[in-house]
Amino acid sequence: MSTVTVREYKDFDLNFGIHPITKDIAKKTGANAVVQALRSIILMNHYEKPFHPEIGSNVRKLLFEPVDPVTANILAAEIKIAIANFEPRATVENVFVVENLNRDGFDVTVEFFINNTARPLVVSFFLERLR
Amino acid sequence: MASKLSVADLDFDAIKTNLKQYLQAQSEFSDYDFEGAGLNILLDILAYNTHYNSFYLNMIANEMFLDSASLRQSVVSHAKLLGYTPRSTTSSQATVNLTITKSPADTTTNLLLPRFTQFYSQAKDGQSYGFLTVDDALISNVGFTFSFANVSIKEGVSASYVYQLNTSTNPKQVFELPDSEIDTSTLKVIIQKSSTETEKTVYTLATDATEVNSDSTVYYLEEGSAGKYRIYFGHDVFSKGLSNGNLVAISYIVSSGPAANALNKFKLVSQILSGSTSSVNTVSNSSGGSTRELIDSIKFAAPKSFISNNRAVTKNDYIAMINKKYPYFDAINVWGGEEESPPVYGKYF
Repeated sequence: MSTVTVREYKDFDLNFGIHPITKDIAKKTGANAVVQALRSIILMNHYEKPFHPEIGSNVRKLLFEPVDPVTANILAAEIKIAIANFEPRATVENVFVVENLNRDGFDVTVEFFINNTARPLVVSFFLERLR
Repeated sequence: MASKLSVADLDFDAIKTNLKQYLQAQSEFSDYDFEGAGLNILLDILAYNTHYNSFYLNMIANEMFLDSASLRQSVVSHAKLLGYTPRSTTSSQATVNLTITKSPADTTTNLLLPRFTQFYSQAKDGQSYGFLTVDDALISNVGFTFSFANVSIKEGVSASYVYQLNTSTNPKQVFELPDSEIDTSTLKVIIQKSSTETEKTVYTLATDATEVNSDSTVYYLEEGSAGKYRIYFGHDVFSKGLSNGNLVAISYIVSSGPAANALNKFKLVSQILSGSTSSVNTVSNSSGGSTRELIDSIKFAAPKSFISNNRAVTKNDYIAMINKKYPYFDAINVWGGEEESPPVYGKYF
């Protein structure tokens, strides 16, 4: 009988939360770890990673463009490319970006599969410029 | 599975790969090889920090040896241990005959041509250069004329500074010269006892530590860390030192180096004798101007100078000494008299 070893994704929480019992740094596991990584990839600028300017996306720069459907489409394409290039654990199904004129930003919804799982995941977040 | 951390790599990617391999031995965190993971970002910081320190240590190690040093101040410092002072910028030098014709009513019989008398050259590439006499010259008239023959003039701008020694603020008696493009062969150091006692003593450059004693009036010269020159004195041990309140008068020429070579027409900037006329005839064109010694040259010459120790015995000694005295030579070839046909023993060519 053959056995298959499934690697469990385990990362630490980038919010540096504290585990309530062990008082150790909190962990992100499984899908939560992948979602955290997706957010990091999307918000990472080119040239932010030392010696690897190719890693990252152009999302931050696009947030300074006009809040309109054209920018929203470009943002969606940029997010798809970034995830496809730098997050091998996820396969993007859809990326929806809708401009939000009232809040001067974009509502983003990413639908994706974690590889070797059947259940699709949906992550939504709001992108806005900070200055 | 690697459980030991390899520490031999300097490259960022290799360091990061080593850290990833090290993390394979544990199961607490597993996302180290995904670029967006928090652990991967932490590895970036660790690898960058290690790379930074490795590079820094590598540079320090390089600068510790004459062969591998790349900063001028490091090379100069290593040369200092070998008793070698790198060659400064050298002024282009010309020789002229200067004739001053005084007016018939003038009764002057002796005329002084003072140090730093100014000449100017014809323009070269749109720029005229100033030339200066290096030493005083005094002659008597013949009829109405004063003829200064074979006057050496050097290109550059004169600079003179007077410092008063305060042993509480300057206990080491070191004086840093404010200019870097100095022709150090034109340096003149005069010590006056104090502002009220006008007795002056000319100090000369110490070139050989074995030839000076505690009464020798010499100064020592070295290139400082910022490329500027420093002069200091012997503290009454190696040579005569200074006392509190002494005035140190330093004068020199700041040179343009090789830019002023190959000039052949010179004129006096202003008449040194009122009502006179002057003519300048060029004996030899300006030549010999060169930049300060380059790093590669210091690395080459310092060990050879140390070996020869100001003695010329072997062929390489001659090469080192000629190279030091005539920096503008492109190539030097020395051969022994025994290689001549017929042999001339005991001589070098």
